[in-house]
Amino acid sequence: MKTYLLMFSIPLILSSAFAEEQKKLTNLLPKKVQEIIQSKKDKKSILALFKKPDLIESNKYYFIVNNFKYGINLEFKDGNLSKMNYTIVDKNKRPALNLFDKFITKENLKLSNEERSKFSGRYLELNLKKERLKLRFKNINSKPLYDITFSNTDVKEVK
Amino acid sequence: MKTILFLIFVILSTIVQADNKCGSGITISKQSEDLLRLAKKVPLSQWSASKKQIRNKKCDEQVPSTEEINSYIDNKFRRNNHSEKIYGADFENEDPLLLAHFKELMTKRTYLLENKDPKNQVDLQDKFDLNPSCKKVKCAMDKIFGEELGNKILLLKTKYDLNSSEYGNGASSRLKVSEINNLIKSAQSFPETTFPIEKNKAFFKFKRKARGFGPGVLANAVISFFDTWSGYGPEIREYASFHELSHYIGGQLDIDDSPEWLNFSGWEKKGEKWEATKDSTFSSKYGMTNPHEDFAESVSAYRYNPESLKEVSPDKYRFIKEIVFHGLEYTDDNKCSMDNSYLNNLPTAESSPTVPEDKNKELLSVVNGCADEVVSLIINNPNSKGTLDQCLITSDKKLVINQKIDNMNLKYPKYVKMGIQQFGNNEFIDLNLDINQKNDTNQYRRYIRREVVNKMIEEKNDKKSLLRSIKPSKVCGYIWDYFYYDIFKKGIKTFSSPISKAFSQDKESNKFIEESKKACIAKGKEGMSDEDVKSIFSHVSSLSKNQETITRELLKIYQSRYKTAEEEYNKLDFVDKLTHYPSWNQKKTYLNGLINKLKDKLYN
Repeated sequence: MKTYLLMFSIPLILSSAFAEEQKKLTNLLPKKVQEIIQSKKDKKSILALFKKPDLIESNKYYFIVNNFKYGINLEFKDGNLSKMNYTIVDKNKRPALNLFDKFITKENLKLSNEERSKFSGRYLELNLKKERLKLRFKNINSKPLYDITFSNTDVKEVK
Repeated sequence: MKTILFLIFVILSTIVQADNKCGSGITISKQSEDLLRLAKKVPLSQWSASKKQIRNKKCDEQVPSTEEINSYIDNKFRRNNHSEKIYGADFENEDPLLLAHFKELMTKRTYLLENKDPKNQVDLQDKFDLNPSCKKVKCAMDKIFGEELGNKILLLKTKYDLNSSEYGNGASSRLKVSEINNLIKSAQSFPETTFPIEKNKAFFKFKRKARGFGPGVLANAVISFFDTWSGYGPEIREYASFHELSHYIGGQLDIDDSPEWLNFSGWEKKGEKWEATKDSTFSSKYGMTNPHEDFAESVSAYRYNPESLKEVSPDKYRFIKEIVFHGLEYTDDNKCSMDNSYLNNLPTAESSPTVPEDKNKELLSVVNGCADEVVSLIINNPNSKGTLDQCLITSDKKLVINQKIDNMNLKYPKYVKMGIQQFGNNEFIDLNLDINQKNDTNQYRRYIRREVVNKMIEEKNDKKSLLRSIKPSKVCGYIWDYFYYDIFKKGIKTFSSPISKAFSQDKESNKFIEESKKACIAKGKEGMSDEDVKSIFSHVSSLSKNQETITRELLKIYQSRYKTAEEEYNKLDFVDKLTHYPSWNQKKTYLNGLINKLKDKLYN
């Protein structure tokens, strides 16, 4: 009996622990991002969270935030959100890397290697695979969170 | 391609000439201007300046000699009254600030997060046999790095707060003298008001023969320089270092992706990638990579090839002139002298703001501008007088600098002020403000302000009204620890200042802190009662006298929390134990950490 209980309980324990961890993590992110990560991912309900997009390029929707082109980028596939990039435009609202301490391992934090760049490392990238999040922190002393990329891999690739 | 560009140029030139001749008043469209510029322009180079332009830049300064550096350090660090043991070696009768710089040069930090690396610190005495013959910083630097390199590392650290020591970072290696000369030249190429920016900024040569950064990568934002950088000649090394320092400024001020900057080249962020819509506004090919590289390359063009930047983008030129160079220009030798800086000739005795007539108004501005310091003074913190003075000096500086900037009709005054407040070489500004000059108005103004505050504090009733006159959010921010102590004494589970930071992660206490702050602010809005003020004073005085008692009491609380949590966990059956193990383990580690910290505090 105990063996069965164990077999059932371990995945439950793991999934509840993960959900708890994920909640702690998302609490550190901007409210809009929390809403998107936690909400249904269909296009209609996601777009309802925003004002009119400032630019649409096929399945990509772009939003200007405080004159910043484009603070929020949304990408849809098959009527669902497939990717979001969210830039924290207000520098006073950027949480510092040390708040994410407990999510950092030796493997998931690296310096960015910018494309075509002769000078790299402008960001520290924290890749959280389970959460499908990539967080980029500006590589200055205070290491503030600059942008967040959420990849919704539940969406099936269109072939 | 060149032929086509030439043809466009000829056609456009004809149109322009025709317009001018007719005097029709029709202006050339922005698009035509861009095309004209594009047609005239020599194809873009990879970088914004050639070796020759770097070599022949205006206002070039030579790297200081050993004697000049020695004299700079001797003048700057005169308080030879401090003794300290640093990583196994004794230092005696040395300036405490110089020792602090030295300690940072010798403190190994991790590459990515730049935290102190506790495992790999070098024992200086063991490795370099410094004592007993060597108990001074300069002597130690000579022994560790050799005289010339040691002196130059010390110059970069003490003048610019850039840490180029191989012992300052786990990934660094020893610089060659020729290399550090290029680093110094790049820092010198900014106005002397620019540095220091932030404390102890990494600025070093990465381990030699290391791999993994790609063959063409010269440097990165850490700031560290790779072998590719070393392989170049002195001009490109200086240029690359200058480019990195430009990133550092752009990043710190958050101006390299400000809406104004993005607009100059029509930058748009799409995902993590950037696209520019105005291709003719760049000073180099590399600047077209993204707005950050555009910024670093444009700042480099401003310094080493200013005419080209002026031509491709007068807007960028003006932006950089105002915010980064505070008015200095490098188009000829006269324009780049410090006489042209916005920070030069700051108002002094005669022209600075007059002594305030309305003392009450003045008082309000003081208490809200230096709220923490005033509260500290009210509650009799022994160091508060000096701190209040320091705050008053800083607020005076801000006032004077902001007034000057406002009177200059600049296009970007907001960023200019922000830059000066955030960076601004204090030594330079103090000198220009005549901050230490006797009888100057600023000093008199500070004196008046302090006297007003002191007078009010002397009288008990005014003490209360003073406290009430400070914005509640500021008072509560400063004194919440003391409110907590009150609550703590009454037996409610909460925590005082020594470990409140650790507890900020804890949900319950977080909620409690927020609620208490809210309550404090609400109380402040209605005006604090006599009882509140009395309670603040009595708790503060008991708190400062009884740190040890508090620590003991906190230790008891944590030990009891640990015991309860352990008992609760042990009561669980096997499956529940499995479920709760992660949270128990986290709690255990956390509480143990706190208990050990408190024990350390009490017994060591």
